[in-house]
Amino acid sequence: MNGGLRQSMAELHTWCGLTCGWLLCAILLTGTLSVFREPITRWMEAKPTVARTAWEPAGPEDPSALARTVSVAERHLREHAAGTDTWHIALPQRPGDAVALNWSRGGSEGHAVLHPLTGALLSGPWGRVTEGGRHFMSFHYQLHAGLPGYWVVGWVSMCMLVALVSGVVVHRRIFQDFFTFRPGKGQRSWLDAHNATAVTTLPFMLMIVYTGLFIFYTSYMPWPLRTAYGADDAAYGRFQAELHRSASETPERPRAHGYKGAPAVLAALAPRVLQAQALTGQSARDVVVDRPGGRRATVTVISRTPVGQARTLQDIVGSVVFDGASGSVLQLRRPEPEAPFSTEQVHGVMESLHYARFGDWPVRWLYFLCGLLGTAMVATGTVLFAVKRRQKSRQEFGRATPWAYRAIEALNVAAVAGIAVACIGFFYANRLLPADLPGRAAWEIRGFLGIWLATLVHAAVRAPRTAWVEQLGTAAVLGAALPVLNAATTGQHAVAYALAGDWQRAGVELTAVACGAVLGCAAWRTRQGWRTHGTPARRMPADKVRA
Amino acid sequence: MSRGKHPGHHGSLRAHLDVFSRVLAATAGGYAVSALLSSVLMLALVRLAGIGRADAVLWASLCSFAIYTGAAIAVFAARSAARAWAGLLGVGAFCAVLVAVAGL
Repeated sequence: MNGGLRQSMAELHTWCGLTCGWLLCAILLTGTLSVFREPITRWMEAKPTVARTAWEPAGPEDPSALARTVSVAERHLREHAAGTDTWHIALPQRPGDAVALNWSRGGSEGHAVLHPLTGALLSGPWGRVTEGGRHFMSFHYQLHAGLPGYWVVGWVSMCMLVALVSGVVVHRRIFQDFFTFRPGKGQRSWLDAHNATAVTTLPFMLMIVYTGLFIFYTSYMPWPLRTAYGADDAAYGRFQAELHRSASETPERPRAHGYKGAPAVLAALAPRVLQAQALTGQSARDVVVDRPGGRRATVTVISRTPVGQARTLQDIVGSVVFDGASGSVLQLRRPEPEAPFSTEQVHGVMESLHYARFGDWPVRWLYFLCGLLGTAMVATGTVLFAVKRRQKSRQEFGRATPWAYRAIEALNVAAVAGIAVACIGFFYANRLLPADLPGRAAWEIRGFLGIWLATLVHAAVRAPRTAWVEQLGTAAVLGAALPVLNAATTGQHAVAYALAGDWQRAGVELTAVACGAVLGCAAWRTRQGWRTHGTPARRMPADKVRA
Repeated sequence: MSRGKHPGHHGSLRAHLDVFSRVLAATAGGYAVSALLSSVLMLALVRLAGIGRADAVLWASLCSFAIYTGAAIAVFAARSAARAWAGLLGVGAFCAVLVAVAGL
């Protein structure tokens, strides 16, 4: 019975892992990159540093500089965006940042970028309009395919859970195998690599897949909710209201009413921003003014956690809503890291766990490395399938077996090496597309998808070995040459970033170079090692051959 | 998941049907059973453990994906596809009755 169970689990693991492995590689790799979505977005936006002025404040954190920045932004908006529906001010977050303004009325939008102290309009396209790191994040959870993509990711995630559990059942000698690695032995090495990466990342993978599914439980598994609250549209609202009422008493925003007569005058914004910082204890990140010229103008100041401050799993971003005219506080949302734990926070904690939204950079690097190892685990699994069958055909597909194996090889190449080329290619699309191209953010994503499709075509046309070497080599060269591309197109580069203390943007380039080096080694090893893998005469102990 | 080491099964229609039936059972049947079982868990938390309705929904939803995984594994561990379907239908019907009787 036990042997039968292991056999059926091995078959399940093999086929479930293979068929979902292709998409999983892409989902895991883009998810891993999403850990650094903010630095990637900043690198891709390629915003120049504003020229310094004679009057140099301590930095964007300095209250007098902040008040001045808000004032110059407000003056510009009052002059150029009077009578619009919404103003949005993105405040500078670090020295050298400009202040970005957006306004909208109906469907039309306007924007401007100002010097944070002088208020001078900074001309031309200020940096590049891009989805940046958000591209990787939205691909990660919906494959840029809207609702169907979102459900495909859910399905693949469930298959991942099934493959992990069945893999553990198959794998009885979990700890011995963790310390077993026999390099240069063809199929044995691939199996060892698959086992070692799987055992190392098993807790991380279980956590990341499970939290990923749970984040969307109201869509993926709404049935307990429906059983309790009914299936109508308002059920979710009732559920949320009960969940929050039982936990804490957040002051609800009072309904604005009783405003009559002439539009009230919007009071100056700068005192509101400073007041919000005092109330939340966090520095301000965004200022949003709703109905700036209307009767019920509101000013919302959204804060951010100070850089370098370790964050907890219950991280809450503070915000304050003011009445635009009188300046009275309508709503205050304080960051409450020491609030007693309650069920209300479960969803937020799961999100923090999945998004690495706690503990700052060391945790993000840990997630990045675990994510890469997890991607490697899936990649080695799909490669292992092909390597085993290259040595001895199992005739699973009858007469179509050679054709099916060929297709699986091509899909493996595109899923493992091709997605790496596409991800690095996305950075190239960002720099090579003109900065003032209309709809350039969408073109960057089309570039990413186009490159990925091209790698699949390439893998189908070329012999497997050549396809592996060429695609891994392409990814390696592209990664290693990223600083050169950046210097050639924007004049910026890692050294300049680092000298300016901008380790986020420098880190993006240095990481790309490091990834290029690793991919280069992989390409070289594939080129050298293919012949040994190809020898069919290797004798395998019968009990070691699984699935 | 029939092929591999059973030479007699190669290309046999019966083996293919067994695999297809199990995939369907694990996907659709497993989802239905996990939806029903987590709903029963929610009701049990409310009725038996006295936990608030909203909290119970959250904890039951948290467990539902583990239930789904377990159901899919069980379908493939079963001796035959027919037994897998019988098990799913049995558990599903039992849970459906409980939800109908003890529903909120």
